[in-house]
Amino acid sequence: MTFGDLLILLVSVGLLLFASLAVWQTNDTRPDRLVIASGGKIVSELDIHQDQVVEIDGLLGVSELEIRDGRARFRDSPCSNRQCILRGWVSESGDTVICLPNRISATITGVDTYYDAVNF
Amino acid sequence: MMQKLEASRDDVRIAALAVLAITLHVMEGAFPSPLPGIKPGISNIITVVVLCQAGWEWAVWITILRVLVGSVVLGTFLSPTFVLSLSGACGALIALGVGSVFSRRIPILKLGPLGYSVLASGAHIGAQFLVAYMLFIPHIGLLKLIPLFGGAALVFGALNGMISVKVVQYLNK
Repeated sequence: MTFGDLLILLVSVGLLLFASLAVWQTNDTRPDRLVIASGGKIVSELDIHQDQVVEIDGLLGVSELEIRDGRARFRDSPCSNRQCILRGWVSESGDTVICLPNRISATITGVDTYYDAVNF
Repeated sequence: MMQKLEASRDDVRIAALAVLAITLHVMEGAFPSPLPGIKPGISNIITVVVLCQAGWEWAVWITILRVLVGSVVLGTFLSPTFVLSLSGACGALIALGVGSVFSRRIPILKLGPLGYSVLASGAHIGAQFLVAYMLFIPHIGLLKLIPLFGGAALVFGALNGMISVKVVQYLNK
């Protein structure tokens, strides 16, 4: 084995490692902000790390959204079946809670978006 | 009036070596493969040995003949498989050509069969990815397979290279 052979082997291994890291790195889905929309328009953009309860006006009335420990949920809503509240807490970038009767949605954003390949 | 084509000694030698490469190529087609596209590429041993013993032009002849005749024998001639096979072979030959020029001009970069084999297998899979991306699957998801196929190319390239070293040693004994 000559020096050239060794060089080619080392460069190949290096390229392979680089390609593996570049292609297979996991996404950064840490939550950053909560984007709230009512009736299709964005009405509020909040820091997900600041605990608070916000009241959002919707089609039927006022929905309460709670932010705590980097997670978000519907706490109260004037809709009848309460699917939005039953959805519970969401915590990853790309996750969304929606109250369809009240036309309110809240989406968590971040660096990368978590891709739900099962449900989408 | 018929013109008679004379086959020179070199023509006959190239044909014989090409037959050897085609045999390995077709044999390999019968091997089961864990993933379509991952295969040992043992006929590359012939290319590398010929490159070391007889030069780049011979290697080009034998490789192109091997791809053409091998695809006819396996029934993939002019199919997507053939396009990928040919583009891989062309990529490998270009890399070998550049490699052999460097090997001759710069003494410290002198290459042996092992280096040529790894170089060829890497260029082979690289050219195939390029062509597959441009012609067949222009989707970014294809790139996720690069580490897998690149790793297989490196391992098989190194194994073929070791075999080539032994063959060249045997021929020069």
